[in-house]
Amino acid sequence: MVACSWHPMTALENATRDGFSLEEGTTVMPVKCTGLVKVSFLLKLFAKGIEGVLVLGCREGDCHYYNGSERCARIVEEAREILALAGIPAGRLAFDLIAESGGKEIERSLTGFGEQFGGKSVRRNVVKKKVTGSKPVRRKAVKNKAGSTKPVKKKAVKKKVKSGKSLRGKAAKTPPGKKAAAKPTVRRKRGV
Amino acid sequence: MAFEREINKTRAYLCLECGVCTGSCPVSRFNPAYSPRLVVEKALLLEEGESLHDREIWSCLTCGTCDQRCPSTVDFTGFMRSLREKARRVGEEGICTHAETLSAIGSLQLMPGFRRSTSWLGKGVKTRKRGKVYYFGGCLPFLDIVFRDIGFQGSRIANSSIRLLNRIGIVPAVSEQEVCCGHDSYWTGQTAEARTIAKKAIEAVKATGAEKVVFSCPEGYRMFKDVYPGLLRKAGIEPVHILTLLAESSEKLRLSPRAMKVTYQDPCRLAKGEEIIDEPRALLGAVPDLELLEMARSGKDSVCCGSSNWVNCSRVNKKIQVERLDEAISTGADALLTACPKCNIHLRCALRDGDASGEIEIVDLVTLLADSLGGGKRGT
Repeated sequence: MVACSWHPMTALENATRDGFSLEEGTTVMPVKCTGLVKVSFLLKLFAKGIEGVLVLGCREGDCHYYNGSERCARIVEEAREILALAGIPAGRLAFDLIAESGGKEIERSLTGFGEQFGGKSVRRNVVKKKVTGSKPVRRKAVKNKAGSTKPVKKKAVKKKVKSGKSLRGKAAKTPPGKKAAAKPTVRRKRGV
Repeated sequence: MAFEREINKTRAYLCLECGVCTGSCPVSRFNPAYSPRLVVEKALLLEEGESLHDREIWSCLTCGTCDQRCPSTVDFTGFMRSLREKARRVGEEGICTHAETLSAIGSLQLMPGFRRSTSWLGKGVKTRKRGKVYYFGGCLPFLDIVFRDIGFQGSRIANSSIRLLNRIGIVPAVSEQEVCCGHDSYWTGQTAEARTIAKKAIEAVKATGAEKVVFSCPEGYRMFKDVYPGLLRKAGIEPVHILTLLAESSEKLRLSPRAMKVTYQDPCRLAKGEEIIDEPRALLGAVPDLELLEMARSGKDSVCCGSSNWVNCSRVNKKIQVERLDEAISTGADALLTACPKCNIHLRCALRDGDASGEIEIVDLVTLLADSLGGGKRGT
């Protein structure tokens, strides 16, 4: 989890005080502003074997440096495109906006993002072998068929991503699962 | 003596200090602090540590003009590469351009079990999973995402290449296991990483049962042909550049007329050393109504696009690019054709800055040929 040290980190501290604890294997990396995060930084996390990265920025208007979150949304989108092309489901990288008082929001965001990794919030992959190939992808595909996310939600999310508006709460949780589910079908079509 | 091995290997001891390399170097024209022979001299006179921390060793474009013109046949670029390799060991590296995104993409490809998407393949193109001929797209689809802001379309180049191959009767194999060629890692001194990437790439090609691998990117072609010929020989694969292949069967292309004036930027990796100079010109000659206007410095004497290996892009590099653009504009051509994706990117970038004396369209040669295919679908 890469979190802005202003609002999201405060929210995380609040949530922790209220009894919320991070799953084992989740690493929190505070940054001064999510606008400073670079595409290469996100990609290198994946290259090092991290299975999923959730970036948490401040909500619109809350950014201490004026437009950090907007900038980060564009950076995350570019990184997701590159990941998708590199065969890593784009859903493994998500971006969410958290308010200072958003203890519950952060909890929801982490659990939602963690669903694709078998219920854990963000699981760090220590053994590099696990990242490889289709194993985690296949597992996700089965999981999503059973857990069927509504297609209506997917449309709403897509719109938000394109217009670059905030990806809050439920909306941000949906695309990871959906995109992860879409990926394997494409692959199978090509018969790999 | 410091760097004894490197000096012997690259014949740097033969340097006569004649200055031909300095006079030929595109970087030296704008940066007097840099000169190929000066780097060699510093390596000989200074302590080993001192010369490794010299920032100028990262300024070299590795274009090979100095190697080509040196009367003593000193391999300056090879020497520079060896210095970079050593400099990396003491914690030095060039300043990565584009916020290191491109080197990060390189490291993604080294992940075990890496399988890239083939979603970049256009609808009209015919490919197969196994075949005698393989098409190596390399990093083209990735460059699409990174350089969208300057309108660069890497996938279009890759798709155009496949369409042209289809036209001459080749349905090439493509693979999801393909990785990049390791060119930039190699020239920035990361020899071990480059070799790993190259091995992985060759494995991917071999898995498709290919005997011939076609490159549209000059850098990939040179990497496999000159840097790792042993790896290819062992795998029984022959590298071919698409322009050579197309020039051999240009009559099969049946190109439709294009009434335009163009000029052509010879990529260093094709024009220097490899000498694929006549092939692109023959192909352009096969397009009816197309007029090729040569720049003063063309063919073997062509000038580098000004930046390479995604390191050290400074004001000096911009000056080289603007000078080249001005040269292209002065020919009166409507479009400047490039055969290397990096030339395309760098010249587009310089053109966008608005320092050139006018406007000129930057077009990829392969894309232009594919768009001129009579009866074929346009664009991708």
